[in-house]
Amino acid sequence: MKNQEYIQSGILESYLLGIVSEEEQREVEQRVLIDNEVAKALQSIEIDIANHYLTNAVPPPPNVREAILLNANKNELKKWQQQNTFKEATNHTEQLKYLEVEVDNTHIKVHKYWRPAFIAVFVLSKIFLIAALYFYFKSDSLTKENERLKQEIKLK
Amino acid sequence: MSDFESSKLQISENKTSVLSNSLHLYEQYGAMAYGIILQIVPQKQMAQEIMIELFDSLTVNPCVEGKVSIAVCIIRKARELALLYKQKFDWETAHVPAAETDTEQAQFIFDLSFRQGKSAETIAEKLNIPKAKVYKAISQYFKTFRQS
Repeated sequence: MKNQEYIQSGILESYLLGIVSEEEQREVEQRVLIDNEVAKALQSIEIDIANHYLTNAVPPPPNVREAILLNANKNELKKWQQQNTFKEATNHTEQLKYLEVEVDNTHIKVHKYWRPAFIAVFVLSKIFLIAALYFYFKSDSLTKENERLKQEIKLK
Repeated sequence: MSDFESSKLQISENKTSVLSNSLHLYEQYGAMAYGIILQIVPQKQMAQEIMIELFDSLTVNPCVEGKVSIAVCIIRKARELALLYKQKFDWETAHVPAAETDTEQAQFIFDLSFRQGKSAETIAEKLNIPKAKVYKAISQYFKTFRQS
């Protein structure tokens, strides 16, 4: 279809009013991209349609404006709350990335398994100490006994 | 970036930031939208409810970055929403009577299409005319208004 025929066919008006099918809508959009003349005609019709409805406008009652304002404020509040929750979540994850290091603290935190290990080491150390003392005194007494026996043999 | 490009970017940013506010859109196009809605849904209480839903930022904000102008986008959305409410509550609006002259015929077809929400195929079938003639009648309807 030639440009003028296409423009005068009424498809552009119907497209702007949202009356055409999806296929026709795509066709108009493609034609507008390719053809400058059609694009200009579409722009001019767009202005005409807007002017037509603006001249036939009916001012709504003031309570509509108030309700829209209230809705807008609610949406803003929702957006703000969402942003804040996101910020808090981001801060929390950022905190988790780093270990808390306190320079003044002289204490260290260790794993709970160290407690039985420490008790075991303590008990074993006591056992070894007792054993060491026992063998020391035993060897001491044996040395003394040995000396005494040597002297007895010498005397005989 | 050149001065022209940066100023163009600034303008588009300003446009988005200013117009994204549903209240600004309402101030500019509210009366137009209300006029359209009343043509489709003549009950004032319901028309006001439709207006509130229409200008809820989530419904109207996509118009700012659409393929068509903001005014046309709001016209489309107002019609869509009003037709949806009309279907939901099964309202009957006054039909423009069928007529013989071209102008009256164009007005009748426009009414069936825009206000009653009938598709071009349905209208063509009902009036026993080709679909192209339906589109032509819609164009004729606006031409008549431009001339008057």
